[in-house]
Amino acid sequence: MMNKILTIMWKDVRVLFGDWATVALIIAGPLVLALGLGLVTGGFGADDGLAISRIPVLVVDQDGGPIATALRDVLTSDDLSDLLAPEALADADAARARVADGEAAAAIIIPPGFSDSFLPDAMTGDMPAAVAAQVVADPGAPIGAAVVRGIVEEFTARVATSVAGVRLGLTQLATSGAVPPSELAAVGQQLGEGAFGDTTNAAAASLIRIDRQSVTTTGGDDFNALAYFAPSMALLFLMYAVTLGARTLLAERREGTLPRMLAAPVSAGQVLGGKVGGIFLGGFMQLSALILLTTLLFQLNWGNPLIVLLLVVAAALAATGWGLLIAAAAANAGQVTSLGMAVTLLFGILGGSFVPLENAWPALDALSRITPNRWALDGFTALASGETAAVLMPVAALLVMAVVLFAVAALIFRRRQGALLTA
Amino acid sequence: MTPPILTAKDLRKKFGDFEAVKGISFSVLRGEIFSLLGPNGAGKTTTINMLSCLLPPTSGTAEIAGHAIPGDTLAVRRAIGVVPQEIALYDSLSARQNLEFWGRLYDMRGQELTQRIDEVLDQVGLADRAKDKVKTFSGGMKRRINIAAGLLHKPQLLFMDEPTVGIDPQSRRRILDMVRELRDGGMTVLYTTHYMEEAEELSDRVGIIDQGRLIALGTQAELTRVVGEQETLRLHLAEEAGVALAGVNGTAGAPATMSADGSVALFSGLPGVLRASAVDHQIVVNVADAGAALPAVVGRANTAGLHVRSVDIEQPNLEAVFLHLTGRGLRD
Ligand SMILES: Nc1ncnc2c1ncn2[C@@H]1O[C@H](COP(=O)(O)OP(=O)(O)OP(=O)(O)O)[C@@H](O)[C@H]1O
Ligand SMILES: [Mg+2]
Repeated sequence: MMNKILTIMWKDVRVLFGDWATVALIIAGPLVLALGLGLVTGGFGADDGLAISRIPVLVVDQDGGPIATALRDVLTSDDLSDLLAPEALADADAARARVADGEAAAAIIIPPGFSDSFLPDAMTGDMPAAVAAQVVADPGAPIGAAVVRGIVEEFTARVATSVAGVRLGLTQLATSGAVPPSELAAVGQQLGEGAFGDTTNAAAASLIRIDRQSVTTTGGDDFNALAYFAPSMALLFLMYAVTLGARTLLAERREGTLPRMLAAPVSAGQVLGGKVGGIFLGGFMQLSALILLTTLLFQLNWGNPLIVLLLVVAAALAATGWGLLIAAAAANAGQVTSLGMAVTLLFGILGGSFVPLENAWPALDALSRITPNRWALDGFTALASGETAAVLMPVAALLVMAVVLFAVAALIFRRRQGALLTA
Repeated sequence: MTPPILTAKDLRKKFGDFEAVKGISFSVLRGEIFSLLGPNGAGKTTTINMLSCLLPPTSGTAEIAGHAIPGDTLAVRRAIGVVPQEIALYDSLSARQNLEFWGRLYDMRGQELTQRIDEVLDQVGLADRAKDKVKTFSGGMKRRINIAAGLLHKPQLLFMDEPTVGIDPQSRRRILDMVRELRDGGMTVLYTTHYMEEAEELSDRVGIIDQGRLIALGTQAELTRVVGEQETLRLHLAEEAGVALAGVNGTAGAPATMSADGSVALFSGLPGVLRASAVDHQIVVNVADAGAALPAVVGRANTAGLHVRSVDIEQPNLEAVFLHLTGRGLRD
């Protein structure tokens, strides 16, 4: 029973990904577009007229250690002054409240123990448990929040790399016998302090200089715009991928493969189940591939993998629902393509795939909620800002959307089933 | 006598007001090749679609391998293999991937499926192209994979709907040989065609179908007996028959005209001439005795100015039967 459905699903995925032109379009297309749009709009505060006002960000330093200070210095540096408008705050809850009120795009909360967590244990050389700086993001300002998050991540990664260097040095010293084990602790302490003990220290100063550069060039510009455009382009092309899938529903009838399936010992339900499953699986794989690729190629952080998976499933289901509705409404395969293209673009614009519209026109904001793009993008933004709980609403909305669309499409298909299933 | 594997009883199919199949009854015996011979639009595909459970009959019933239509359609579909008239394959998949897919739908898997795919690929002579995408195949090669997909599960009864349409002579030859091999291997084949030669070459028995009705049924010998002792003169012309006739002069009793159904009046009144009709570049003249009628027929053609390139004398064949029964050629 299930076997035949899976057979048909798998066949559809093979057909979809067996055509290199299609793969180029639905996988390379969004990658290139996300990069391109990231570069174009990434010029934030620069002289190119696209000026976006400086991103208001609150900084709560509960640590006070050397690395926390270094991070604060980076945020207030000249290099970032066009981009960020940082403000120091003592109270984390007050900072959260202000972000929730939309007064700041994000708050960076540096918890106690942040600096120490980067320093290896002087005796063993082992790393203590990580204490991450927390970025509280305003979902209403996805780009600003993504930029702040990117800066903090880049900074943390830099420091961690330097620490790894120190550790490696220690291990080498110990194994080569250059330093007797009894003195290892003292040398480690020295090395650690050499790197991070004092912000005025030459070594630390150079680290931070590098940081400023990397943050303002890759970090501040295209890199974080990419964090917005990667999901938005992936979702835009998800709608296109399901359109291609939905098209096969009618194309297979015309080309006789659908009737041929029905002449085999397979029920009409299994054939439809397999086709719908195939549309879903194609969309799911396309979205997953893009997430994997951007993670590998651009070190983009999508957030908790399990929740990303949940969101991808929900988004692919909702998109499949739209694909089915389009196929149900279209008279032939050609119409599915043209209708699907129109819906893909419309949803892309409404759902904020090109520019976030929600602040521009409240009416459009409401309308954008019929698109899977908008909900999924909200979900991905929340996830990337580490706000796992905020993903539940988009996931629920996408699932409800899927159920409703499946039901409506099923009703229409039932009415024209005779025409659909027989040649 | 061998028992029938298929029995159709008064099958009818209406599309709206139009009745495409108007009550067809016949049996196919186990182990035979049975051909449904008829011109375009005769209702061959509609009949096959009803028998393969794709179209519910408007009325009438059938029984295949002991299972009823309508009713036991799942068991029927397990017993039959279908080679559709239109090539139904996935262009962007390889030949093997296509066969894997269709095999799985017939509950085949694993080693069994792989072996069977190798076998049928050998059988259709495309083992060396197994890995290539079907879109890179010629029409004849696609037709052969289309057939292979219907053979995978070794059906008791195989429906082949015009499997040689639009392909080169070599592929056609190969397919016809294969159909006979399948029959010799124990499979029963229900074959449809509008090529008289194919039906003659392959069939153990033939049903002639026209405008939704089965107008004759039997072995070739039985059918040609219908025509009596008739023989056929086939005049080969340099041009399409209609064009050639338009350019010549007939007589009052025998005008050089061709009616809509293809019958030709030019030879009317000659002794022994029963009827004549135009088919492609030929005029087919049914006569009681070919030797006796030949001089007069050729003489009339010459007088009229019809340029005849050559004349064949033929013993009764299915074309003549069709002509006899309908007054039309098969390929008009
Ligand atoms: N789905 C349909 N709806 C309406 N009319 C149909 C349908 N299918 C077939 N017909 C009509 O029924 C008649 C028989 O068609 P069918 O396809 O069975 O003929 P055929 O003998 O297979 O012809 P061919 O040699 O061209 O394949 C034709 O007049 C055709 O136009
Ligand atoms: Mg047909």
